[in-house]
Amino acid sequence: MKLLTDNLIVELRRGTLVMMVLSVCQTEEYGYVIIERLTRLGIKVEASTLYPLLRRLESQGLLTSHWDTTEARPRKYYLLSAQGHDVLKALKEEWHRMQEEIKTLGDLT
Amino acid sequence: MKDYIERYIFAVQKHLPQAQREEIGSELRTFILEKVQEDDSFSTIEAVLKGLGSPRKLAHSYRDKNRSLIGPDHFELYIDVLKIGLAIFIGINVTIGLLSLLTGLFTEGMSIGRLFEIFFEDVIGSTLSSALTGFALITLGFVAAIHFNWFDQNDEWRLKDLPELPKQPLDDGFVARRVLFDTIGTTLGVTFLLIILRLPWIAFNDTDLDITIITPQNYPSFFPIFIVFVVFYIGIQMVWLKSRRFSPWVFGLRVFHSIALMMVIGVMFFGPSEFLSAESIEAFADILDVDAGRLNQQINLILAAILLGITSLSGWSRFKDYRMLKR
Repeated sequence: MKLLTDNLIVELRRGTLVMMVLSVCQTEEYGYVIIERLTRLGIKVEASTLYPLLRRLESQGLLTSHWDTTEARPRKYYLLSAQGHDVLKALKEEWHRMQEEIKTLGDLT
Repeated sequence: MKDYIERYIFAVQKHLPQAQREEIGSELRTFILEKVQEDDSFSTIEAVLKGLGSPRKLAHSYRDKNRSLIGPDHFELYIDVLKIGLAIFIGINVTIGLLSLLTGLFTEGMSIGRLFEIFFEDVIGSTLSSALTGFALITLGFVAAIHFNWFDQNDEWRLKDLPELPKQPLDDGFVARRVLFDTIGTTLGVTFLLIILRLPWIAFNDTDLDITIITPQNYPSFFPIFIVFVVFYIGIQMVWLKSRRFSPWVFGLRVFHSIALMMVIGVMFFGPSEFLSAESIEAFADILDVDAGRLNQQINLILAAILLGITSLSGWSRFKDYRMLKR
């Protein structure tokens, strides 16, 4: 039962991860810092999940990126694109709508 | 210790397309080095690398598309088509193999050893090879169909295409029975067609096309096969009709289809002269100003084309039926 609950929670969180990552990328950040920021907010995300996701969001045009090679270690910075802003706005609206719906459902039961 | 980091990155890159290797490798390296910058002991490096997961799995998560020949969207349909296709492939080969075995039994001078040879070569051997060929062809067909988005383009459906309700509630064996009956019917139909096509009734001499009408006198062994086919076909149709609730229109079309198919096969078997008198053919030939013998042959060819057309249409409608059942 616990395993099933854990799996369902993972699925639920996965659905909202894109919204969270897009939110963090409103300011220019690189992967390691994005993970740190999300972790500080209590959102646990593995690097093995985040890096492929960042790349996917970039290929979908929701993020832009550039390499900073001035430091000792080259870093790839990500920033929300104009299209990403629109998508994030739509996702947030939907998220609020869902919250209201779940609240209503809670009132009924 | 840092050797492990490079080895890990290399292991990930091995599973990535060439164009992505350098960039993903650099990004991973930066992340790992930042994680271990305060403590680069073996245990920390091991924990960071273990946290990233197996190199193969990590590389896989970078891929936009799942790497599978048949994706989950089409897998059920693929399995259904595979079952039917393999059953038909195997059925045809077993039937033809057994027929040649039976023919061998009645051939004078055929030794027992030769019969065993025919059994293993024609029945077992060709069945196995046809099953493998069928599996490969169906799989390749599906891969091509998915690659060119044939399924997605044809995924529209209309209310009137929904399957009729069965007389009895659907049970687990309903689809299995449908598949079984259609498989038997199609196997017999295809075997029958193959037999017709393999008979030396059609030949080209120089530039002229010579056609010998299939009659019991010309091809006596063909007659019992034809009877078996007709009996099975009618039986299958009856069972099929009993298992479904048809509207009068569908029922009428079904009966028309059966009668038309039987007539076309009958005409092909007996020749048009059994249905049209020689005088009628000659009269038609006079009207059209063509040779009567040639007209007779042309009628045979047209009927063969109609048979193929009806069979193809029937097959297509069955295929659509299965797809609707899966919705």
